[in-house]
Amino acid sequence: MAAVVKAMVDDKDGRKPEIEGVVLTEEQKRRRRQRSIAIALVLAALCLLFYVVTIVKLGPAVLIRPL
Amino acid sequence: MIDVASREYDMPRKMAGAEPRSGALAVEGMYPGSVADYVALLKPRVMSLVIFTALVGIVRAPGEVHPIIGFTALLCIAIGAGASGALNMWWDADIDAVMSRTRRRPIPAGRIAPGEALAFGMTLAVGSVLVLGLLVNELAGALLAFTIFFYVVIYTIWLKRWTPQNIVIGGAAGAFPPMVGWAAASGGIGFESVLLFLIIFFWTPPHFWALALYKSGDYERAGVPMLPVVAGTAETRRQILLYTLILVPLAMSPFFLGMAGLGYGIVSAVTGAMMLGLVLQVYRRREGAAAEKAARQLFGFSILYLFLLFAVLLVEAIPAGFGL
Repeated sequence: MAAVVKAMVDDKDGRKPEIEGVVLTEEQKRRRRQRSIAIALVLAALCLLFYVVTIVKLGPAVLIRPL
Repeated sequence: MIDVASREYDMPRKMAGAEPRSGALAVEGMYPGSVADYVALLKPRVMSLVIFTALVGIVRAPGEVHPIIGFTALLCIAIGAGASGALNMWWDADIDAVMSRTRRRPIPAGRIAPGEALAFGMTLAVGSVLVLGLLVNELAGALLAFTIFFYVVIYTIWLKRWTPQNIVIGGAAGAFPPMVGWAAASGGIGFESVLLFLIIFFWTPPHFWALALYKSGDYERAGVPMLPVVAGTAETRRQILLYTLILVPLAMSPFFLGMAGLGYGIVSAVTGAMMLGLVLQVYRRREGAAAEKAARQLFGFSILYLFLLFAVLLVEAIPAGFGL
């Protein structure tokens, strides 16, 4: 379980206001990283899919053009 | 009026018995959901049957479809089905928490926030419909959108907690995939795709009521008006028999109408007879362990029955697809 902590953070004036933040456990960080990688892979696969479908829809005539 | 905010923050606390979480704490990263938990939200087992039946629709549709377009259609239908599953789990998290079969799902177990499941499901639903509509054809996209709407709004939100006919009408949502596949491949709706729809539609009640017979305690605790809870197990057995008496000849009709070959005719007759035999067993055995065993056998076999019917339709269509 992540913990909410009151951290002391310096601001511009050198004061140390109290702010609340969430500190993730190592396990939560690992899972978040896995989720991020999964999202990246899905987005990459979508790009590839759109590219391939575009080529398919254009058909072989796409190669016949003046250079 | 649906209070999404309270669903988001209050339900995991009520359901999982975990330590209280305030609204401020329910932020990204707090719920330890893994990639596997998000995959579980998609109901992969339901999704696999949807993919399979949609594939049959694509393969059996008249005309030719480019393999990449066919794959895209199948992917969109699968993601759309997964989105429906995620939205169903979002809405039903409170009743999932009190049912033995579903209480380990990611939301009631506190691993994914309901709001995250809602966002996940909506993103996939909108994405799958748009991609199918834009890359394949508009009719398929519209049918997929209607299927998701039907499953989430008509079945999950409206019918499931209101009427014992919930899975009869809601079963239409599960019956649409072959029709969506057919529309994706041919751009239209053929008679055969309607027949495939009807087979799954009439298969759903015996399948789910067999489960409800031995899980009626679960549904009763959750306040879901499944037929055994509302009308009793005797009436449920009668209804299972009636629906199966319609289902078996309906499943054989593609052969009699000349849409399927002899192989399908034999398989649909043999498995139909087995299905009817198991239903009669459920009808007769009404007490104790024997009754539960019969219901479990029927539930298990009903899945195999539908799988075999569609598998033969798929196998018969493949040679035609290759011009053999």
